[in-house]
Amino acid sequence: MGINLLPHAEEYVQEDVKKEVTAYVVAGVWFGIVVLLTSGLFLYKALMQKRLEDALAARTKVMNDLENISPVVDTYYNIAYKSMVLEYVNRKKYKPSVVKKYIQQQVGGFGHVTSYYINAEGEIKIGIDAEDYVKAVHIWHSLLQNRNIIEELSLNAFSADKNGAVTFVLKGKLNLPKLYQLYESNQE
Amino acid sequence: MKATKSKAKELSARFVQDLIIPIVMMVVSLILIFVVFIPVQRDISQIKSEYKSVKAEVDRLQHKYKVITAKSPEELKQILDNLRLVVPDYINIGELGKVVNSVSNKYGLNVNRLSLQQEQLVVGSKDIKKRGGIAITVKTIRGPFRISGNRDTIFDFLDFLVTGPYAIEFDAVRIAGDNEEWNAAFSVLLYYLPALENISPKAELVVPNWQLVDEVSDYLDNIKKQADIYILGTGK
Repeated sequence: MGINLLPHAEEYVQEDVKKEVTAYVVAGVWFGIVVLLTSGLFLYKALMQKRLEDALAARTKVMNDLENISPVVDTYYNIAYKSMVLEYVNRKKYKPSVVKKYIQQQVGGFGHVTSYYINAEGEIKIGIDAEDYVKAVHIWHSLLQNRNIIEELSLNAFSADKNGAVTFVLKGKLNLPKLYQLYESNQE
Repeated sequence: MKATKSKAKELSARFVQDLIIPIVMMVVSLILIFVVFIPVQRDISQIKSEYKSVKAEVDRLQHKYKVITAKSPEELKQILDNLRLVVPDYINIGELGKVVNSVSNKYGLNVNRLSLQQEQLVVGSKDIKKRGGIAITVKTIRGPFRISGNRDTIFDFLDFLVTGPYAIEFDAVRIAGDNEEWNAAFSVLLYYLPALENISPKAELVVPNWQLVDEVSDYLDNIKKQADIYILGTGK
């Protein structure tokens, strides 16, 4: 049976060999990962580039398709914009009879409407004759009750004759959307 | 002595294993990160964002193509021809007079005063909205009118004029009178929209108000039966 005179040295060499192998294995794995990552990255870039090229080609195609039907596109847009103009005008339109009905309702039997004036800005003037001062005030009061419909209502050109009959003009700002709301709810 | 040499060798081998390899790995890793990975990643992000925007545009344009071609060209042309009767490309000033006159005749009213002048053709223009990259300018012609008659008939006449499909609105409506005779003085604004041409394929899709378009079509079918009502652009 041989005696190992340098047992420590042998262990040391074994450990060294182990470490060296481990180091090279780690380096190899690292290199593999680096190669894999780099090639993966480049592959992914190429894939994205291809996708982009396909999308650009699709865009060119659909643009060409749209250019090929440009008279139809023009027709379509003319329809769209003309309907938009109608929509715009419809929002501003009002039926004069709706205003008349509302005023008539408020005036009731207390007076007699002699003139109506409405402009595009919603300014409204109503000329009214009433038998006496109290009835005139009653009309003004009933129109004031619904301040949402005629805003900033003021009494103007008030005059009374020797019999007590009065003539006056009520001036204000007509809120057409509110009036239409009321009109439509009354219709239901 | 021998032992010292062997120790030095061992140390040098250890140095290679323990220090050189990790340092080389680190340096190469850093170089790769800064020279390859970061620039390539940046390129990929750029490509991705460009792809995203191109894809979104392709989807938008494809959708637009689909919507525009949903109706046949003949059908679209027919719809536009109908709409041109209510929002014309251009209006000869006299036509406003013809419309108002034909409607007033329907109600047995007479136009007492008419002051339409050719130079008043475009009295105002309004940029309604800027949509889809196209700025549209809507133009109007304005004509002051005066009519006289029964109060309720005047109101019916004004209602008819304004509730039709025409892009008409009133300004400065003054109605006054006594029990028998009433007078109405009013300005009529008739809107028109010059034809849009050469719309860019890239222009955003603007969806027409189809319900309104259908209403116009129904109204025109109805009004065409009433021979006494003048229809814009038809000359009759």
